[in-house]
Amino acid sequence: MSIEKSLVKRVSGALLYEETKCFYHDLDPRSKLMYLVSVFAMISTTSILKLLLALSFVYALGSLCPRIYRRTCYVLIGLAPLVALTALFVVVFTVIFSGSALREVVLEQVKVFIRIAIVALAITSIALSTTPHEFVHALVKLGFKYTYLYALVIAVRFIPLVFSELSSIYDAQRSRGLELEKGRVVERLRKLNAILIPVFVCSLLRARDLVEALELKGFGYSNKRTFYRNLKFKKIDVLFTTLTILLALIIHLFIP
Amino acid sequence: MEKVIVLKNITYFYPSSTTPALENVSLEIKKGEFVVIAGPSGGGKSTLVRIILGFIPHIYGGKLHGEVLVEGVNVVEKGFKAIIDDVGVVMQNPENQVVNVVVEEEIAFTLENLMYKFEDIHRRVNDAIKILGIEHLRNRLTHTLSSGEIQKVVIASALALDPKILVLDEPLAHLDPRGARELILILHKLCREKGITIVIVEHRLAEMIKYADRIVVLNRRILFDGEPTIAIDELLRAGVEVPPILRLLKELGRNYLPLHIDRESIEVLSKEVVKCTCTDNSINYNNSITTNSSACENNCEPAILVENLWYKYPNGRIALRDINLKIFRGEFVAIIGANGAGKTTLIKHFNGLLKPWRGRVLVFGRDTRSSTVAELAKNVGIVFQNPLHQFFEKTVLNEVLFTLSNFGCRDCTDRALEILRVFGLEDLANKSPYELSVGEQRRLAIASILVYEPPIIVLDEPTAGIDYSLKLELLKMLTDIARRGKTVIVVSHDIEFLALAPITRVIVMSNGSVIADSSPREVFYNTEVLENSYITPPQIVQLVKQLGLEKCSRPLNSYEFADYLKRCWSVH
Repeated sequence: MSIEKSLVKRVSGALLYEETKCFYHDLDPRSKLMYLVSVFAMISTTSILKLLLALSFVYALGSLCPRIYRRTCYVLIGLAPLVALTALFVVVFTVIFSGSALREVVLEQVKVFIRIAIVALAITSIALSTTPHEFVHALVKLGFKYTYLYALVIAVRFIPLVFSELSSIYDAQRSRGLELEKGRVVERLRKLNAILIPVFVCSLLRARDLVEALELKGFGYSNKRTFYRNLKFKKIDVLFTTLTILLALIIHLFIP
Repeated sequence: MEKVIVLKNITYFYPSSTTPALENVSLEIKKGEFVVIAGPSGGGKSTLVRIILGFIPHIYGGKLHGEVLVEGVNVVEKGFKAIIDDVGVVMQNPENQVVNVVVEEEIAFTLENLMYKFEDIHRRVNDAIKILGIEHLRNRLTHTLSSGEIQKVVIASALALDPKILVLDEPLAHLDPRGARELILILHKLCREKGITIVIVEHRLAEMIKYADRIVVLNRRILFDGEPTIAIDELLRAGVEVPPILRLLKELGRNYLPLHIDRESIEVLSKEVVKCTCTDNSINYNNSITTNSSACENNCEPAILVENLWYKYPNGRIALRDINLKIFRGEFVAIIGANGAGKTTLIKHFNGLLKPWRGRVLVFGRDTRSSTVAELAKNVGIVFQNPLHQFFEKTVLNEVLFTLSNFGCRDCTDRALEILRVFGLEDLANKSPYELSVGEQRRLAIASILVYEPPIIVLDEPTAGIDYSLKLELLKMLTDIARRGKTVIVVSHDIEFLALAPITRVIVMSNGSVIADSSPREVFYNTEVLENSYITPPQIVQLVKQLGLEKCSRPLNSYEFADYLKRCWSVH
């Protein structure tokens, strides 16, 4: 359970907003969305040279808020066992069944690693500096309907609660002598019910409370809503967005 | 005065239920009143709130007879939508009511949904933050707030709408004494200064009752509706918690029944204690559980030995600082402190759920660092706060058998049935744990730990969210367990409950450290220690101090004090 637990904890931890302000907090959420689009454009290539250049560009932009590096490392360490296992599986099976050269297959996996490292940093820098509410605001401005978007806000809000509940349930069952690590596979799966059923029941109760809460807060009463923040696309947003688009263009137009 | 809530002959059946949750309930609440709805668990209090808000029948369905008018609006027909501007609500688990990640966003959320203008939202959010004094929380993340802070954010979010009525469902359930007192004072201020009608469903009345204009006692039907001073008999009959001072004067047969320690009650009692002298203090308080700690100080091996224990959470926060403790066999120990003081973190070290960062914990000589939770759990059974975190089997009996099978006991049905019999659950053995009442679930949670006979049993906040009669039931159960020679450790900030329990020792925690470790009479009479740990002393202790009697006698609850006074009178 420890690998899954650490993976989930680290990745969910990386998605959390941080109160302490840095450069990315001052950006308009729309310019951050544009940044994400540019990053995906940068990694949409099979050239290792272009990918390495994208990696250096994105990590250079990370220096605008140095604590992002630490958070990204945390995510990458969390993902490492999963990524390593997948890579190993792909390499072994591709070499055995398709007869491809080992060097080529390994190189493909290195490209996958680079893409993951780039996306991890970009997503971390955005998640750390943007509340889900700000995202919703930006997307509503772009024409999306807020009632659907709020599923994202609620997910981010309740992720820490569900994990803390999962941990409490696991502790309560271990205190009754439950050992998930022992026994045969079938027995271990059966024992997993001791965790899954209480999590399910508690989540249902939470969902009921949430329904009441949303009703109390007038959610969905109207198709439109107002926002207490005014989104302004400032000079810094123009500069940042232009820079990220330019970087994506440099990679695709000027690098062979 | 204008009536803001009117219920006429309400009878309600939940879907697929044949017995009514409420029966013929009629109630009128006037503008600016502070109304407390009390009654036993399962008596229909939360159902009444859902009816007032229109959630019943709109969300819950079922059969509802009668008429409900809130601010003149028929909510049965029109639902909550029609009264959203007039009614602010704090539900039973406010943590689940917060849907946003940042406090400021949460307070503005309802206003945004209701299409308020940008300038209006700012003004209202700022006003609500100011009224509740939570400017420091404005940019905080909601999942990092304490229970008390969450309550304030939910109230601020309701106040931003400038409501005429505020409805709160068991708001004190998860608050420590300081948080509870703060919340009651805020509500009282809102009622008196802003004229907001306050409707609170609560069974922890000891602190609250003195502020109430009206008490409604509900147990499916309205048993009483009137001023608190005349509700006493009904409250006592319904098993609702009342202030200990009131219980004391009732016990002494006095006519004056105060709701808190006031000048008149001091005068009445001063006349009584004048007859007592310090030579009358030869009273043996009836603590029938003998303490081993003093006798064993140097000779016995402690059941739990904690040496220089430090614990640091993965996020770097230090939760425990240099804890040193010896807990002996047969002791009944209370660990007290405000929320976040480190109580639960400490007990999680007793069965190895957490391992020390520095220092060590030995359970019957076994180092927890080198033992698994399953090995340690054989000696230390921990019952956590929420029974629903344990239940997953189809029947009550299987739930108990699951614990036994984890400890290698197969075919132990007889043993499981025996523990169910001891806990009065034998007849429910084939029912689903989810079908049990709150009190029965709590009993089952304890039974499913006690069944494998661990010599040490630890209970984390066992009284959270349960009513007074269930507390008394729990108290009896714990006393029996302690009498059987088990070591009982109770983590709680429910001081009035602990004042009733035959505890032999109190450990006070504050900010991750142990700041006092002594007998209850030493600790509860030490004002400085309690203030430093944000704990209010039991009301009887406050009374004895005000009467200047503490050097003669140190009773902890109304029964002990009444006993002292009666003996004192019989001497003179």
